[in-house]
Amino acid sequence: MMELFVLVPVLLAFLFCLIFRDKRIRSTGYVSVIASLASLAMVIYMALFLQQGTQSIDWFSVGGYVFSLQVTSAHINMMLLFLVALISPLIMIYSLGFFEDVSEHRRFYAEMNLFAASMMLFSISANFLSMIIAWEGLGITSYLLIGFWYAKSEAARAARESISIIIIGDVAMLAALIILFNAYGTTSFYSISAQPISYPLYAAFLLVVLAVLTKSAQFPFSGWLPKAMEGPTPVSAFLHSSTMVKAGVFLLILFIPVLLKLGLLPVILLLGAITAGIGVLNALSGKHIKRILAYSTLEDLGLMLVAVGLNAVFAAILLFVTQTFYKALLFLDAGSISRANGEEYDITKLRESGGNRLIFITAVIGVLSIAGIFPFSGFLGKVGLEVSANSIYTYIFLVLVEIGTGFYIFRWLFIPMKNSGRMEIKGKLKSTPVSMILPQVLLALFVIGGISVYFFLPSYLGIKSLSLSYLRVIAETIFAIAGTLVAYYIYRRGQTVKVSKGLFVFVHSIDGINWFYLKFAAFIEAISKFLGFLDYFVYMLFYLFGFLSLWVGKRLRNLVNGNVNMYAAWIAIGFALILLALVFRI
Amino acid sequence: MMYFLVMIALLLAGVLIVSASDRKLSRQVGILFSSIALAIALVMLVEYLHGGTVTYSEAIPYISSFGIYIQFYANQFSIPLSLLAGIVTLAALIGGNPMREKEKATTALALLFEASAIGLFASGNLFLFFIFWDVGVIAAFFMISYLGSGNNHASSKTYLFYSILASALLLFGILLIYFYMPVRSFSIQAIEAGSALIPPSIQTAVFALLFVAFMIKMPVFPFHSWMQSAYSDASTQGSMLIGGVLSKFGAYGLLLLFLMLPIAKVYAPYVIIIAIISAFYAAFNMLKKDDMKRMVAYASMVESALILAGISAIGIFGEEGAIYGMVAYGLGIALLFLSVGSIEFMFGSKSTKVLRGVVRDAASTAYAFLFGIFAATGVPLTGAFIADLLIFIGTERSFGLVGLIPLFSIVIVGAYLYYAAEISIFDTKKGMDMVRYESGHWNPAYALLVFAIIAIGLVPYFILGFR
Repeated sequence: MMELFVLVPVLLAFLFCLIFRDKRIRSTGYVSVIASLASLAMVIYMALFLQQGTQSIDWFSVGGYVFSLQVTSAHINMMLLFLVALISPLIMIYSLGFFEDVSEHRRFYAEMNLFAASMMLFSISANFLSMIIAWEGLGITSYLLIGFWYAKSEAARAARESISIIIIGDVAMLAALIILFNAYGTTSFYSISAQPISYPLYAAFLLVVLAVLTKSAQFPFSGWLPKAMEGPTPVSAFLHSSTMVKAGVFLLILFIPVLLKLGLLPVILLLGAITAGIGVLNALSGKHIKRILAYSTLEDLGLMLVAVGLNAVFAAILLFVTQTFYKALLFLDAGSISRANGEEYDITKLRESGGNRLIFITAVIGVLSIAGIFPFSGFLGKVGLEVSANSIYTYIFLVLVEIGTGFYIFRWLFIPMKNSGRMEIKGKLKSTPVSMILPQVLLALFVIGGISVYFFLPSYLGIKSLSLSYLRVIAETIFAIAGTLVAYYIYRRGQTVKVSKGLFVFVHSIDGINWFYLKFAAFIEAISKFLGFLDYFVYMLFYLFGFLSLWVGKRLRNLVNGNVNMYAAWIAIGFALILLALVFRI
Repeated sequence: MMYFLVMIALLLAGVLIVSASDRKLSRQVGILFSSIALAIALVMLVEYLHGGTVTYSEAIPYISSFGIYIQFYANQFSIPLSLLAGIVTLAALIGGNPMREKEKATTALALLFEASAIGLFASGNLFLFFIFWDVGVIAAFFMISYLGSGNNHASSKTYLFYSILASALLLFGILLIYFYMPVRSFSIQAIEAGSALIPPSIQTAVFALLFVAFMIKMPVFPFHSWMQSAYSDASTQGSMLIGGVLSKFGAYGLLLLFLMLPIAKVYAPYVIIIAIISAFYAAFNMLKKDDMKRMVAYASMVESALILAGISAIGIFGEEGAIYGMVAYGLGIALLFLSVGSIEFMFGSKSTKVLRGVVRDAASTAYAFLFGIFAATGVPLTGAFIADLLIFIGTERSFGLVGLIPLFSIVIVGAYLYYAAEISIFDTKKGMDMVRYESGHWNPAYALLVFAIIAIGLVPYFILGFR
C-alpha cells in the first residue's frame, strides 16, 4: 500500500487543477511543483527504507475469481519510480517559466499531473491489471499533452496520429492480459515469469511485444514520435526521458527471461536495430531542433531493444538510466534556445544560447554525454552495449551508430553556434527566467554525477555487473570523437550540406514509414468504401420503403376526405361490382 | 417493498401530470419525476448490495386464468439496467432538449419510455416483457417521427417496419414457448426451470424467432438498416434513449434467451461469428461517415456486437460482462449522442465536413465528446474497460483466440472517433462561429453521465456485487 501513496500528492494536485478556476495567478503551477516534490520525498524514503515486497489490493471479483491490483517495491521498480519522481518536479519547475501565458497553466498542469501519476503507477505495478490502467492512462494523457496547442492544425494532427498508433497497443495489451488470465488465473508478473513455455504464453507475449513496439515507437510504429514534437517542449522532455516511451522498454527488461524462453529476443534485436538505424539516419538530415532529438530518442530506444535482444540486462539498464538525464537535459536546452530566439525551431536560423551562457554550457554537457564521451554518464550506456555485442556484425553496427550519434549531435550543436557569429537574427533575444535555467543546471549535474550508477546499481538491483576494460572505454571514446570531428569538419562554417540522391532515401526513411501508413490507411478505406456501398444499398432499399409508405399514405388519404358524395359513389361502385359478380357467377 | 411497481406507477403518473401541466413547467416536472425514480433505483441498489439478497419478486395476479401476473424481479440484471434507464433519461431530460420545442410531448415521451424500459428490464414474465417492449418501441417511434428532424417521417417508417417485424416474431416466439411448456406459463423462472422439456425442434424455432427479433433491436448485422437514419433523424433525446437504452432491450432479451433455452448453447459458435462480422462490418462502415450522429450510431452498433459476443460466451464472465457492457456502453453512447446533439444545436451542423474548432466556443461540450470517446474505447477507470475485460475473458474461455477478434474493432472505432475529434473539434485554425449561443445548460447532464461512467469504472461492485 505504501507504494500507492506516492500517487496521492500528484492526484491531489490534479484535482486542485480541476477545481481551481482562477486563471490569473500561477497557483496551479506552484501546487503541482510542491506535489511532485512531496512525491519525490516519499520515493526517496521508500527507496531507502522499504523492504522489497509485493502487495495486492482486491478490486472486484467475478464468479470466485478475484481481480486484484498488485504493486511492488522491488528495487528495479523503485529505480524507475525514482527516475520519474526526480524528473517530474524539474519539468514542473521548468514549465512555470516556459508557459508565459498563465491562462494555459491550469489545463497544462492538470494533464501533466495525470501523466506523472500514470507513469508512477506504471513503475510500481506488479501485475498486468494495474499495469494496463497506467499503460492506457499514459496513452490518453500523452494524447492530450501532444495536442496541447490544438489551435495549430499540426498539433491536433500529431496528437491524433499518436493515439491511433497507441490504441493498437492498448488493445493488444488488453488481449494479452485476457489470455494470461485465462491460462494461469493470475496476471502477476512474477508468477507469469515462472510459467513454462506454452501456447497461450507465446500468443500473449507476441501481443505484449506488439504493444511495446507501439508505445516505444519501434519499427514499424515509429512514425508518431517525431511528429509528437508539436507538443510543448516540457512535455517532449518528460515523454522522451523518463515516461511513456520508456514504459515499453521497461516492460521488456522485466520480461527478458520469458522472452528468452520463448525465443523472441532475436526479433526484438532486429526491430531495435532497424529503429536505431532509422533514428540515426533521419537525425542526420533533420533541421527542426526538437525533431533531431526525437530521432535521437528513436535511436536510444532502438539501442535499448538491442540490449534486451542481446540479453544484456545491465547494459539495457545503464542505457535506460543515463538516457533519462541527458535526453531531458537536451530537450530543456532545445526549449530554452528556441524560446529565447522567439519560438524558432529551425537550427539553421537559431543562435545557440539565447544570450545565456548557462544554456550553452549545459547543452554542451548534454551533447558530450549523448555522444558517449568519457567521463559523462552517457558513455556508460554505449560502452556497456558494445561490450555485450555477441557477434562482429552487431559490434560493427553499434560502432557505426556510435559514430553517427557523435556526428548528428554535434551538427545539432555546431550549426546554431556558428550562426551566432555569422548572422543577425530578426527580433530581440528574450531573456530566460531562473525557473527554466535551474532544472537545466540540476540535470547537467545529474548527467555528470550519473557515472556513479555503474558502481552502485548492480548491488542495488542484484544483477551481474559488466567489466569494462580501459581498452574498451578508450576505443568507445575514440569512436565518439571520430563522429564529432567529422561533424566539426563539415559544419565548421555552419553551413548545411546537400546530400546525394542515394543517401537521401536513407536520411529521410521516416517519410517512407509514413508513406506506408498512408497506404495502409488507404487500404482500410477501400474496404470501408466497398462495405459502405453494400450497406448503403441495403439501407436505401428499406429507406425507400419508408418513402413509399409515405407516398401511398398521401394518396390514400384522399379516400377518407369526409366527402359523403364520394363515399356514396364508392359504395355504389362496390355494390355494382358485387351484383355483376353474382349475375355472371364468377 | 414493491419498488419496481412504485417506480413504474410513478413514472406513468408523471406522464399524465406532464401532459396536464403547463407547458413551461413540464420539463421541471419531468426532471422531478425522473429523479425520484432514479433515487428509488439507487435505494434499491444500496439495499440489495447491503443485504445481499439475490432475487425477490413482486407479484399481483392479473389474468389468473392464463396464469398471468404483474410480476417484477429485483436481481443482478434488473437493478443495474434500471439505473442505466434512470440515469440516461434524467440526463436526456436535463440536457437533451435545448430548443424547448414541444416540451410537453418530449418530456412525457421520455418518462413513458423510462417506465417501459424499467418495466421491461424488471419484468418477471414474458407477457409483461412483450407489453413493455411495445410501449418502448412506440415511445421511440414518436421520438423519431414527431420530435425528429431531417427525413424523420421516412426514417420512422423504416424503423417501425423493422420494429413491427421484431414484435411479431417476438410474440410468435413467446406464444410457442407458452404452448409447448410442460405446464403452460409465461414466468421466466418457470421457463428457465422447465424449458429442457420443450422438444428440441420447437426450441430451435423459438430460438430462431427470438434471435432475429433481438438482433433487429440491438441492432446486429444484417438487420441494422433502420439504425443509421433512425439514430440520426431522432431528436437528441431520442438518440440518447434509443442508442443508450432501447438497443439494450434486444441485448437483455438475448441474454434471457440464452439463460432460458438450453438449445442456445448449441448455436453459440454461430452467434460469435455473427458478432465478429457485425463488429467489423459496423466499424468499417463507420469510416466513411461524416455525419457525427451516424458515426456514433455505428460505434454503438460495434458495442452491441461486443455485447452479443459476451452473451454468446455462456458462463459467468460472459453474462456479467454483457450486463456490464449494456450499462457502461449505454452511458457512453448517451454521452456521445448528447454532446453531438449539443454541437448540432450550437453550430447548426453535425457534419465533420462543416464543423471546425468546436472547442474554442464550447469547451465543455468538446471535452464531453472526448470523454465519450474514452468511454467508448474502454480506457481504464471508465466502465467500458471492465466490460471489455469481462466479455473477452468469457469469449476467450469459450472460443479460444477467435473470441478475441472483435476486441480489435475498437481500434478502428477509436481511431476514427479521434479523427473526427481532431478535424471538427480541436483544430481551431479555421474555427467557426456559433449559430445559437447557449450557456451550457447541458453541463449538469454531462456531469451526471461522466460521474456515472467513472463510478462504475472505479467501483465495479455496484454491478458485480449481487452474488
